[in-house]
Amino acid sequence: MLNMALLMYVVRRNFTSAAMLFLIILELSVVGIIVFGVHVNYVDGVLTEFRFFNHDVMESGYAYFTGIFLKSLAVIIHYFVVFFFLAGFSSLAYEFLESGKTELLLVRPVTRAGLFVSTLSGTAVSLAWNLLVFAALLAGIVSAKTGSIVLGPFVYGSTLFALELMLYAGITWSLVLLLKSSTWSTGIMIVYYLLVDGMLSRRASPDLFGGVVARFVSVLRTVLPHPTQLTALSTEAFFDLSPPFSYTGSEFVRALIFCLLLTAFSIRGFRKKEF
Amino acid sequence: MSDVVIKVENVTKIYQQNRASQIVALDNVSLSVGSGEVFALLGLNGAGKTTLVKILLGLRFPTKGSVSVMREAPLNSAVKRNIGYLPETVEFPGDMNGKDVLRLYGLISGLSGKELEKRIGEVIDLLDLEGVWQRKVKTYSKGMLVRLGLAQAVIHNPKLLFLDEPTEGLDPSGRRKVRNLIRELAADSCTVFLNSHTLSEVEMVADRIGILHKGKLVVTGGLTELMPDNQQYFVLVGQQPELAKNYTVEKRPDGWQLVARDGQELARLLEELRSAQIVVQSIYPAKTTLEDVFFKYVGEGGDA
Repeated sequence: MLNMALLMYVVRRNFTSAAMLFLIILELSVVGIIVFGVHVNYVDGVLTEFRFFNHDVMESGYAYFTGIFLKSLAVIIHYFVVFFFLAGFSSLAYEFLESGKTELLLVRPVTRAGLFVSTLSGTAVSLAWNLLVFAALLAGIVSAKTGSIVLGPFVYGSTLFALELMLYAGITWSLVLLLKSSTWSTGIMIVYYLLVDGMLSRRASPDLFGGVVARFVSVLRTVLPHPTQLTALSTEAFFDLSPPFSYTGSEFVRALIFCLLLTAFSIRGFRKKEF
Repeated sequence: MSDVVIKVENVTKIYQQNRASQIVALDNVSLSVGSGEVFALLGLNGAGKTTLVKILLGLRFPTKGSVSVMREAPLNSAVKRNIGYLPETVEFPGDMNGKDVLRLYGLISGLSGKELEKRIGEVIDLLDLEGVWQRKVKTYSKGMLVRLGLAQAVIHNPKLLFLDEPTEGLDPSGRRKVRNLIRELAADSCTVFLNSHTLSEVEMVADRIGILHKGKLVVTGGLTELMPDNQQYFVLVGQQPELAKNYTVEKRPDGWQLVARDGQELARLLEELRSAQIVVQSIYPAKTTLEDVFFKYVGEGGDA
């Protein structure tokens, strides 16, 4: 019941907002660009071609550049929307954990753990949405490359991306709870991850923060190629699904365990919090 | 006392600020509240009233001692199902309208379907939210927020209601409605635990009071017990009296006020006034107010 009530709040709070609607339309148009392979061809500033799924057009001249540009723009917008959603839902969760509103929830027949998990499900809505969009985006890329939908990378990439978002959401949540409840356990978990996991990941990345943060940076590097690299960027390279979208099995498991531990410790801290 | 609904035993709450300093918010407090009672907890700001209410609601935990609500721990779900709460500072999701807020809290309280819609209609009517329920909560005035807060507190027909400053921010008409609501709820066997420092309001609705001062419960008792009918009488005369016996005389804007400590003294005083040919303007019994009781235990400057 709590879940339903909170979800009602989340949906109303977000989807009645004009800004959120605008972002959804923006996101859908991005998906449209990618999935339907809308390519335009300009010659001397004049639109000469506007086609769907015309892969050949991308291989030449302005059209190639336009294709790359559109895809880069699409991915950038997508990430912008992703983080807007994540930030939105996290702030929503924070709002619910604000003293006045939290009191009114906690005096009702809900457990603290239940409240924690339910508000977390607000973030899950965000994750589900982004998983859907990213799956479509990836399918579009793969389809444009091969001419047919390939389910393998579609599922693989989407799952990894969802995991990545869960990591961000978990960390955001833990920070929110750390600020709200000052639980030692949450702090220790974050320090553990940043230091221990960071050191373990040094082999792959010299960055202190290793795993998550380095991965985020590498995602940005991928979607934001240096201008000098842009012309040299081949279609093959752009469609390559290697890092940042690949994880080793142990990284995958480690990240998952971290997420679960973080959630468990955060719930533990939340149960002891006084309002 | 009827069935005990709230039992507080030797509760101490200490807030540790840092290693060197701590605040004792509650100091060995014990009290009980019976079913259907309107109990008011009084005290100056910072006396520990809100802390005690939050401990009873399971939002804070006692450092020492124990509390039971309806014979169970406050965190028990069955207990929570029967509790309503109006916090001192009422906050709701600003982008929702009043009706959606009630629907949200009604749902979480276990209501659903037609029953929920029926109760929403009833509390909207009860608390005069008819003209405003469709507006976003962020546009509400303080008074409207308090009324909406009361509506969410009673939407699930609780058996125990905690109200923290329920008339704060309300106009006289709103205050009267809240008083009536409290009395109606009590008549329906709902126990009301009131936190307030509006003594005149408390005097009109409470059955029993407790006064908290600097974390200690300095007195508890029924209003009739703490405010007994006073035997004193005030006699107002139009000119300065020169009488044989010494009475307490006080100059007032409308004359001089004399105090007779009992009925016999009043009779003597009236006789003397008649002999002195001084016209009596009015005679009225002195009544101890809750304010008198409060300051007796707390002291004028809160330094008792």
